[in-house]
Amino acid sequence: MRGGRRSAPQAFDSAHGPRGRCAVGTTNSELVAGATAGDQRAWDALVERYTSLLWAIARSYRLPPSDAADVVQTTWLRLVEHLERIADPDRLPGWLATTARRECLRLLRRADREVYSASGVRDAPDDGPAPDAALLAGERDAILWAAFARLDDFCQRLLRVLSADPPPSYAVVSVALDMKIGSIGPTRARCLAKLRQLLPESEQLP
Amino acid sequence: MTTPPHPDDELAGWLASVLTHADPVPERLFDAARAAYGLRDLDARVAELVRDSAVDAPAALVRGDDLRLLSFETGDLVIECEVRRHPARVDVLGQVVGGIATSVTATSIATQGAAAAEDPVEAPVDGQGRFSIRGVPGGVLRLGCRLADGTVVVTSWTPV
Repeated sequence: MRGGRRSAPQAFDSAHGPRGRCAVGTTNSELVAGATAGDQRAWDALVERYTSLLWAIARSYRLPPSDAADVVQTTWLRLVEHLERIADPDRLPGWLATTARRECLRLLRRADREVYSASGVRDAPDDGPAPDAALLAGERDAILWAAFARLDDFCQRLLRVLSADPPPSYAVVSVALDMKIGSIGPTRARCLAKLRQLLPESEQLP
Repeated sequence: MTTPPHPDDELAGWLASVLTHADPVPERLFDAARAAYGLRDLDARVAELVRDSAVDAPAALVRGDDLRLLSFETGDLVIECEVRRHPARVDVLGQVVGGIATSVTATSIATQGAAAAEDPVEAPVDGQGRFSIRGVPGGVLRLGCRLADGTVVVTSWTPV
């Protein structure tokens, strides 16, 4: 949860719990209709609802923070362009996830090319989580993080996207990661089992 | 009576909170995304990105070079661009085909640092539809072409 970032007073912000702040009350249809009609607050509520998902997708593809930021911003700018053409607002999160994934793949392919470039100026691909230890609340959290970092890429990617706030539906995860929707549940269970095995005995949950 | 949480959900919830703290969404990204709405242009037609040498072309064509070719299309109008990247800046050379353009503006949003869009940089278009815009800040770029009939075509936002 992002502490202290509920700043501007916004009509759509009133009913938010600590997690999934915008999940209650206002539907995507209402927000898309509002944003299409020119209501900045409706737009802001969409931003609040899905930016964490877009960030999680970009980071799950191991993009460095600067490229991940470009993906998130490009995705929002594309939505601004396409607002009038969103025919089915229920599919908005899927549209956002698809757009973000395509931009991630584009940047990854570009980065591949630039390995050959004489004067590549971009960041190297992120070779895994390396958090500031001080950011992690406690020793147990640091242990979990270290275990997560030892998971294979595929499990890290899936669990990273599933950890977005608010958590995405499996339909959205399916387009974000190009996975069959039916395989997400079983794969999540397998990845969590692997993660549990990587935790020391003392940190096993009951 | 409530059922206890599934151990998987408990572990996933713990992981989610750890990831959110360790790799948070940068605050400026929320600001930038909210500001993106201010760049909505209801009057302009959008030319979609249809070709990108960084992705489509054989690697041999672009190896060892910072030059990237982008094509945007809407209807019969095509905007072809060469984007050459320098540290923090890009030069855009291009040509508008299939319509008569009078001027081109480049709007760029730097996602590093300031969230706001930089002031658009405008350039004239010559008789063959060619234009040259140098020193545009790197980031996410949009070109806007003003056509002789008074309408405006903008390119889809593209990170450069």
